[in-house]
Amino acid sequence: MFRMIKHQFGKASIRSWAIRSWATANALGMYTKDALDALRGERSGLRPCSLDLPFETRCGALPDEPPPLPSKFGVYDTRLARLVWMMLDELETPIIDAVARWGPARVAVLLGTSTGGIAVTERAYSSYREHGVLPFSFDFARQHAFHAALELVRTRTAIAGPGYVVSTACSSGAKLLASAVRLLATNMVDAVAAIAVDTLCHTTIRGFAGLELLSADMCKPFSRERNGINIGEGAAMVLLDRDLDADVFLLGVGESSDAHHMTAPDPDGAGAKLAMLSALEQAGMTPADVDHVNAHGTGTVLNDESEARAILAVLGRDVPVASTKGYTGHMLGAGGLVEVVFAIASLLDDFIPVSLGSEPFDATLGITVNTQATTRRVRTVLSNSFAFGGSNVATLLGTGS
Amino acid sequence: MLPRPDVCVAARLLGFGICCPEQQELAQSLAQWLGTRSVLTSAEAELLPIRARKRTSLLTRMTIAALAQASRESGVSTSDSPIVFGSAYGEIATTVTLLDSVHAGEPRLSPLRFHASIHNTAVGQVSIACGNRRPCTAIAAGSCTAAMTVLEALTMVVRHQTRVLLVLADETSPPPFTACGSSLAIALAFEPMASAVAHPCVTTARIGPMHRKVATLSWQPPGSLRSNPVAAALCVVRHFVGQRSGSVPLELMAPSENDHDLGSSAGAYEPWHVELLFES
Repeated sequence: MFRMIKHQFGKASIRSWAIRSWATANALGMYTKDALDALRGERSGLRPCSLDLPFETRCGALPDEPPPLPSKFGVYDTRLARLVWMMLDELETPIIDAVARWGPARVAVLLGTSTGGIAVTERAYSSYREHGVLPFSFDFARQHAFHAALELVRTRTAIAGPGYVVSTACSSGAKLLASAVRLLATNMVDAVAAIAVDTLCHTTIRGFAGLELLSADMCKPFSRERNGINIGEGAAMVLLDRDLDADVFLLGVGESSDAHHMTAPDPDGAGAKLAMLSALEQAGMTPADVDHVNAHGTGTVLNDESEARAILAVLGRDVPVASTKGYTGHMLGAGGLVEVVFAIASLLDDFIPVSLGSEPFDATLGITVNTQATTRRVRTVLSNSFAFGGSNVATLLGTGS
Repeated sequence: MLPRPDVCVAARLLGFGICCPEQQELAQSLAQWLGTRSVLTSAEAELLPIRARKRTSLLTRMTIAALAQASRESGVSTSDSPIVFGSAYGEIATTVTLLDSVHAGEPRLSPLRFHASIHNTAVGQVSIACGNRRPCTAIAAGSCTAAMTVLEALTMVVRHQTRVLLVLADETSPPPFTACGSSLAIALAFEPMASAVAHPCVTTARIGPMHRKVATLSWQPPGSLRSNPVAAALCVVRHFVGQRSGSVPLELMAPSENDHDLGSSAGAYEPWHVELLFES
């Protein structure tokens, strides 16, 4: 239930935000139900990559092609925009209800993405290099630019409150929840449509290949055989509301910077610890309250080691940890919010996902990785997202009961 | 009409930094228009180690130069304050070098360029160089970028009761793109209203949704800066420098030019406005 306890430092009141509706599309399924059924059924969505690449890797590609936008929105048509449109197919009604209830200017739209429409820009730019002009159909502002999808959401839902894109690489999808909480807590808005989306493209896959972080095979988070990540694509949407009546609540969003290195995590997980502690502090909770951690768990040697240290230091060795990267791949800017939807499923169905690919698990990490199907009471889930530039986010969700 | 008081966030603006690095003449006319001599004309990212400086884009360097200036002027630390970065198009020059590599069929992109292409490159670099472990974020909102970045920064000031550094920057779009005509970075330093720190020019900034339409900006920045999405924040600096009171419309989520061909739903709503109110 909603709590209004004075913060221990007297700075801010503790309160939680209702999550009334959610949706996701990713390698596990084009619609929320399919994706969550596959998660429960321990079916991986990783498959050989369909992009023309000069090396072996697996990808968390969508199982089907997202349908094109209606023709009058053709100028916005990118794979990213199509995914956003699909999310709206599932959540249009609750968003329109929120707009009707609070008024158009009291609802915000926040979008998390790291790639924007660059998949289209890659093709347009190649065409420019070959023919000296960009294709006639290419529109930089409405396809490449981050804000293009915001315009699309506004047009379809009549949301007229603040709208912006949060882009902090691989933490974007969780980071935008921190912005959402700020908008709600300062009473700037009453509801926030939070959307995160990224699509497969050459720039990110070849970029991670350049960093030698890609696994040629299925990723193995927290396994002693882990050897890199699989890139995925996907989208998620969550509708936050100041209303008190809901089954799931956003309890806290902790943020920090590593101040260590652009692409490598702080080995001790110092930044990750700060983010997790901040999420707990905002929620007025103790480490013992956390029933499950949906880890960032990308499957690289250093990331998993650093994250395990942070989890061990903050939450101890017994909390069941799972990485869902073995199902979806690393969805970059979309990952944080898709995993929030997975955390919601854990809370509502009292299950902890099997950490697919974690066997044989790395006992030196010292944490408890959930390698068997587990059904138990789940009241609070912590979801981690970390990114280049040392951007860390820990999101705390609960049933509130 | 003033915003409803319950939908305002207030903070004190303590100082600014500006970097206009490409043309001396433009920087001079900007300085004249703003009424200040402190417009940086070279993008020196002195906060970064020398080796790191050479590898960074103009966007990152001018962002850091403006931040450092705002920090010096205001006393708001780059090592212990959250930093909010706003840019409509981000690291577009670096991104174009990656597009060249992809076009050339390179299997593996340069790791340095790849991580320098992310939207949060500049704040990541500053946080590393200054040992800053506070939350830093990077946002974009097209022509509303200045307004939305200010909104993000002010909600951060109020929610977390902390000083915040904000920096807006967009660089000249490299060919074949033409979205932004001239590079510009603007940094602002804010502190919570409750903390009473004496400062020669105390100014209040408030922000909220306006329930009326603001048609156009009543001012124009010089020349090619007009196409820079973050130039909308120049009027904040002008008000601050001139110690003017009154309101500054920051952006305008006015329906964009193309809305008429998107059917009747777009443009039918009351848009959100961000307006800073200065009280001397």
